[in-house]
Amino acid sequence: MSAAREIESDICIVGSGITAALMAEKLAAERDVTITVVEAGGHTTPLRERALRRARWQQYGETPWPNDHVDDQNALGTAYGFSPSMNVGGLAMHWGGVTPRFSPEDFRLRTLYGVGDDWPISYEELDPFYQEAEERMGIAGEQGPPEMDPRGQPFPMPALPLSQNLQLLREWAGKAGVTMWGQPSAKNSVPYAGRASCQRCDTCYPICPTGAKYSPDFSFDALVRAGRVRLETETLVRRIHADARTGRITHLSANSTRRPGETVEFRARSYVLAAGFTWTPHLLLLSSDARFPDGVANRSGLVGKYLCGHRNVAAQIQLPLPLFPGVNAQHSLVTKQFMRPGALARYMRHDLRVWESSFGQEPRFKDASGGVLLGDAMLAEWRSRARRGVARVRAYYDVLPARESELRLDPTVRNAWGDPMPRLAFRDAPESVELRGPTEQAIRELFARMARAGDGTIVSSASAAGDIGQEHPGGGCRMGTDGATSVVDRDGRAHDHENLFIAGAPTMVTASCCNGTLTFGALGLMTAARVGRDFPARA
Amino acid sequence: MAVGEAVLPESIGAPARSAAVAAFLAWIGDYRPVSEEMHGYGDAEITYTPADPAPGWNAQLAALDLLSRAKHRTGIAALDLARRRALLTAQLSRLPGNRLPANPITAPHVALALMAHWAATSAAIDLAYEARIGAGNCRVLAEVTRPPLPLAPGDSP
Ligand SMILES: Cc1cc2nc3c(=O)[nH]c(=O)nc-3n(C[C@H](O)[C@H](O)[C@H](O)COP(=O)(O)OP(=O)(O)OC[C@H]3O[C@@H](n4cnc5c(N)ncnc54)[C@H](O)[C@@H]3O)c2cc1C
Ligand code: SF4
Repeated sequence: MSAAREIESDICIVGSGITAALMAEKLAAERDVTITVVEAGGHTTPLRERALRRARWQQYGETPWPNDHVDDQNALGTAYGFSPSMNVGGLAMHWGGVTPRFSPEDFRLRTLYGVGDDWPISYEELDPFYQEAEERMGIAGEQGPPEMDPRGQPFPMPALPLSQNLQLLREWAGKAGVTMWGQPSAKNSVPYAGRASCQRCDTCYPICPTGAKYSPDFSFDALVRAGRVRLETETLVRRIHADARTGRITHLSANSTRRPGETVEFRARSYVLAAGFTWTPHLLLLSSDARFPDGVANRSGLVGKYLCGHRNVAAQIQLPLPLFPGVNAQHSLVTKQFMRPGALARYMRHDLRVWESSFGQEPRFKDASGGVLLGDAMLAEWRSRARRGVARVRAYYDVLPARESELRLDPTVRNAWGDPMPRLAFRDAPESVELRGPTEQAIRELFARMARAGDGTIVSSASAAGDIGQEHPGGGCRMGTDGATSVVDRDGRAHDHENLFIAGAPTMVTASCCNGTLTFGALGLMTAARVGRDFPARA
Repeated sequence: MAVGEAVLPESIGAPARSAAVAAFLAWIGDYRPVSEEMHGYGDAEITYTPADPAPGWNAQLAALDLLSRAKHRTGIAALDLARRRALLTAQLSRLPGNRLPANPITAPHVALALMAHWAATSAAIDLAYEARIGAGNCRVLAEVTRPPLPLAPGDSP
């Protein structure tokens, strides 16, 4: 083993995902600081190669992001919603770019409905950081009715235009009493921040060939080029070291993932963990020592607890509408009508999204009676089914986490350095277990009502993700005002260590019922504002 | 080509069928087995593309030719369309399911692979919907607000 290389800076950020990218951008723009970002993985496919990689994915299913993971570094258990991607940009290199905000109710569930827990911050306090995240990423969005979709400032970019398909579907939803509008997305409706506008080629997930969809590498490329950030790639932080007396973090120790024997030490005034909902609590738990036997920042015993996410109910509805799937298939309608339900006899909140769909319109080589179809007969049969319009509908619904919804270290599975890997077990709080059946039933009834309103038929229905994990996961280092019942304060500062900050997904109290990444980014920016206060403003 | 003429729509015309067969051959020629696959949403496992199906498909083509000779005393290429289709129909009717595979690489029969490869093209999708959707192609964003144009006479892949 060679002697450790030492890297010193004012601020050291662990992880280079989307949360880290937004934070590094803000800190570099506003503060006179040196910033090091440490990333376990390497660089992935640069923009100039994305069209080619996209073609190989379309033709053969090859990943457009080869080697985007670190060998033998993976999560176990109910890991649905987790992704093994470890690379510059994190998971958001291949995200769908869908960016809804949470609703004001999300932050006050206990007060308003007597379930779950309140957050220590309000929607109104997060609003400017939502706005900043939207501006930094570049979000194209349509303002929904203000009572459903409150926001302080307009979206930074005009909405993506609604396709003819979505216009027809919006009319249909209206007949069922559902007010819908275009889903905000991190996709350029016009050229933005030096990147092209969207060309609706429909591969946002897993790869955007044009750069119209925001991904964190764009931020890091610019920051590194400008000399504002030092990006240490292929370096896995394995331990956080805290001063036994003061609790202040003294340094981080890391190993090169390319040359596993090579060690690196990172020293800084402030440390930020932006390593996502799995690896952040994992690193804190790994960092136990004689003084902090349960791991760093874990006086409450809550590191790795209260993992949160949501589940969904989905359906395909056949409608007598002239729909043409493939026009802009990843763009959808959305509503917050059911996220903001007002007073409720029994708690239930969900979102709702509607897409064009080609369900049941796949080409076939046999007809309904099993006869083989070749040549024009195959095409004619395909055409006969393609004429049916189909809408895909899906509602994410609130799941409230149990304390035992947890990440633990599993000593039976270890990486190259002998560190135990994380085992995830998502569990609903007892109140949420009881609400699951009625909630799913109510959503199915809504779909049935929508189908009837359009003279349609439900042709398929599913509840996804069962008990294999949850979508848009977060938690594991929840925020709160009390050090006994939370890991970090409202700014993401660890209750136990004054110079340690935890950013984004892990700090969530609950995961709402919509995609979470914009909220992770907004929380990260709120934390960055607090971190930055300890450093001089940039001239 | 003997199989292509039998399984691809005759209405697209001979040049388009030849082009589809040529595209299929180029596609399978460039296949790389055991390449890392995309790990989709929710999948923690790293998976790899399957073995090259081309040798198996070639063996099926050779067997089809032998079968044609055994039954009709001539190679498959010399058979009329109806007989070619009868041979293929007998084989395909024994396969389970009714859908063309979404990923042609997984096709259990070369005829299915060829049909699936053609059907996945944006031009084939346009023919199925009888409209110029251009699925998967980079296109002007503003035009989404209008329904796609109808196919022009003679539009074919
Ligand atoms: C296929 C897919 C589609 C998605 N689409 C959407 C969508 O449309 N909308 C939405 O809201 N969300 C979406 N998501 C979720 C979204 O991608 C994630 O929520 C988001 O990217 C998480 O960002 P993050 O900053 O929390 O962490 P991550 O992206 O997990 O980044 C953390 C980084 O830290 C690094 N790291 C971890 N531990 C260490 C360590 N010890 N040392 C050094 N580096 C370390 C990792 O390598 C990683 O690069 C999608 C996810 C997937 C998988
Ligand atoms: S539709 Fe195409 S161009 Fe637009 S964001 Fe998605 S992948 Fe990029």
